[in-house]
This record gives sequence, structure tokens and C-alpha cells, in this order.
Amino acid sequence: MTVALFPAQFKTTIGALAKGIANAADGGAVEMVDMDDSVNDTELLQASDTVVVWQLHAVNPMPYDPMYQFSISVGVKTGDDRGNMRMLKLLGDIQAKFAAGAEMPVYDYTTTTPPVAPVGSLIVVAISMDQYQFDKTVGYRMYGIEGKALRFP
Amino acid sequence: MKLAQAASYHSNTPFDAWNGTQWVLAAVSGSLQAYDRFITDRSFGLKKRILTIGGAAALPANYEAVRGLDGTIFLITSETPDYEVGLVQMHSYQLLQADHTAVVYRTDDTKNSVGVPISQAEVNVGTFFCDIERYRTESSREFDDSFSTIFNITLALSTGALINNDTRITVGSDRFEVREKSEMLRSLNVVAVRQ
Repeated sequence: MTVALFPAQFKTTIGALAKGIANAADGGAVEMVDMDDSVNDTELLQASDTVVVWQLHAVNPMPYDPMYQFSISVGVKTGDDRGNMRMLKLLGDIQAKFAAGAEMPVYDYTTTTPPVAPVGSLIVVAISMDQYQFDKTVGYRMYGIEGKALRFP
Repeated sequence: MKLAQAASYHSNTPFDAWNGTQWVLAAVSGSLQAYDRFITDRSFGLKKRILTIGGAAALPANYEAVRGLDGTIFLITSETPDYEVGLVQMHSYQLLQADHTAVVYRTDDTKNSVGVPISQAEVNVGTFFCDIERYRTESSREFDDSFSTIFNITLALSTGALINNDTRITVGSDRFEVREKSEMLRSLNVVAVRQ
């Protein structure tokens, strides 16, 4: 377990959690997009597809490795969603997954090989729904999620 | 019948046709005509020709391009049968000069065990005849205040299955990212950004 790999391992874990939420919704018809990689998924974001969107803002040693503090956003983009019911149901799924106090293992999903043992652990400290974030688009809402993580030495 | 005889009389030029794999001598002869105006609103006949074949015989549907006596290659962009009292008396083909070859690359994602992309690579899926024209400029979707030059790339219809928004195309030393594609009769029109 190296220090240098932990940010990538942490990020892929958040991606896997977001993918899990997307897969479980609407019979697997929901896509997932990493907003830091959005240039590769322009069609999904500009079309009316329902998409779970997420972004890693920071995962910093706090005060030093192997203890970390993280900040992520996980949310939903919907189109053709009268009354935003689909969006709010998915936001409910996200809130349940990342409820304050929730503990989850951090796995190494950086390769095609399925991970067998966790490389760390994370705990959600706070979650709150952010305001409208992306200018000139509609139907985006994201949760700002803060927490702590531990890398297993 | 008289029209068919007249059209057949003038269809006396042999030509090669590309059947998707190789050049073959077409089973029928035709008349390859130059038009200098009124063919389209953009190319004004500079790159377009008309091929007529008299009688009921038509070029097989898998023929994508023809080659003239001087070696010039033309994509077949449309086919129109002309009728006389219920019988086909001639086929007219609109041709587009294809001076370029396009190398098409598909983008394959490598996904991790939960299906999230973790890397991508380009795979060469083939080389095809094409025509290319500058179309317009468009703002970049990656960088603010940057503009890209948009091109129209015309390819054979059969390439449609190989091309999507993740496709990259190189023509000579230029590299293009596909924005959209649309089928137009027997050709594929691709709108692409020069990178």
C-alpha cells in the first residue's frame, strides 16, 4: 500500500459507489459521469438522459498520512423530469448511501482486476444539498459531502 | 425504349468500381459527364460528376466508389433510376471526387471491475476514400474562448457503423474529432472538428 496511490484508489472508490447508485436506479437505465472527465461524456450531459454525476474535490492528508480529509460532490442530472421526481428519488438514494456517520471501505479500483481487500476506510462527516451549480444547464443538483478517510498502512 | 437505346449508346466508357474490398472492372459501361454548375450549392460541380448507365442495369449496392480512366476516384453519393413508361431506361449516379483517404480510429475504454472507465486507447479500424471541405468555426467544448475549425468529411455509407462521437479521423496530417454524422442517400456526412 503506497501513499502515492491512495488518491487514485480513493477516487475510484467514489466512482464505484456512484456507479452502484446509478446501476440500482431505474433498472440500470441510469448512466454515471465523472464531472472531471465530462469532455468524454458530452452527449450524456447534453441529452435528456438521467445521469448520476460526481466529482472529487479534495482528498488531503490531515494532519498527515495515513489520515485524510475529503470533499466530494455526488448528485443527479435529469431531463424530461416533470416535477423533478426522478431527480429527488435519486437524490434520496445518494443521501441514504452517504448519510452522516456512514462508514465504507476504500478499495483499489484503478486496474481491471477486482479488488479483494480494502486499502482504507472512509467515514462521512457531513452531507448537504448544494445550490444550483452549473450555469446554463438545468436539472442538476449535487450533494456536498465531507468526511475523513484512513489509509491502511 | 428509344430513350433506353440512346442512353445505352452513350454508355460506352468502362470504369473500375470499388466493391468495399478491391477495385474490379464494372460489369457495365457508363458515360461520365462533367457538370460545371447547378449540381449543388457548395461545390459548384468542381468536385462532382454525373455517371449515367443506359438500360435497366444498375451498379451493385456494395459498389462504393468508381475510378475514371485518369485514375481519379469518385465516391458514389446517390443513385437515381430514370423511367420511361414504367421501365428503367437509365441510372444516374452523382459522384463526388475523393482525393483523400481517411484513417478512422475507434476509442475503446478500459473499464475497471465495476464498469467505470479508467483509461482509453485508439484502435485503427480502417482506411477509406473521402472528400473533405471546410465548413465553419465553432467554440471549443474543452477550452473557453477557443474556436475550432469544423470540416465536412464525406465517406462511403458503409463506414457509418464504425463512426460515433468518440471516433477520431486523420486525413493526411490533420486530425479530426467527430461531432455528428448523418446519412445522405449513398454517402455518410461527418461533421468533425480539426484538433
